[in-house]
Amino acid sequence: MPKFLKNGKVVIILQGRYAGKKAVIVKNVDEGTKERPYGHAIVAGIERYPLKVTKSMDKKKVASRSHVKPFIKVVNYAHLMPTRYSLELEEIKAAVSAETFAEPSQRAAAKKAVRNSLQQRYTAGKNKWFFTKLRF
Amino acid sequence: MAPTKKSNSSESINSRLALVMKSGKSSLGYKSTLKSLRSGKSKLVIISGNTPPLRKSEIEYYAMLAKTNVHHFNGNNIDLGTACGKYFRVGTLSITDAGDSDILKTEA
Repeated sequence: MPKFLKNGKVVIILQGRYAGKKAVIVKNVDEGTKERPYGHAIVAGIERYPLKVTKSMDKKKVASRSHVKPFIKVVNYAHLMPTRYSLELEEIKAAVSAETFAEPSQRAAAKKAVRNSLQQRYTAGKNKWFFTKLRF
Repeated sequence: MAPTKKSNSSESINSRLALVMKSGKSSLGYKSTLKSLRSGKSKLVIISGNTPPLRKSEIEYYAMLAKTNVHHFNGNNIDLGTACGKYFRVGTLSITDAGDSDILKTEA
């Protein structure tokens, strides 16, 4: 009966502005902290999915439609729906940590790093499910 | 309407549940079973017969991720509450510690 909310797990955000968006757990805090006395996780997700591209589009159009806008957030476990998918995340883990959320400039820097690594993943064609919008 | 099927196995699931309530640990209710599934403490999840299918499949998915067994109780939430010895309805329950009961061996 293992725990399954671990680093690298893909989850779907259920509540808040990012409801319905897919995210990956970067760090999980099972017991909670003083400021957050509940189980929560730091996630990095996609705020704006890349648009669909077809063969008939030229390179410039494909490039502009393939942008990924990320978000980072600290979310309560109760507001996540875990999935069976996972994402390996070495670079993202280095960029995002608990102190990142203290200052807006740190957040922006972390988001930039996340965007770069997610963009590379998408153009490389890996983790296709993660980059498709959840239809509901 | 015929009375609820009291075949051999459903008799004993009730008695096993009673033993778990007495000697083991369990958490009753949807929120607490999800919590126990997330933390990995749940050993068996029991879902009543009349839980809405969306909630039922959600719990089954969580249990699949946690590699925890699920038992679909033959009866509605009122019956499950009575089987637990409570005066309220129980739609979902999670057994975290079986105590003296052998419910985990027979339902696994």
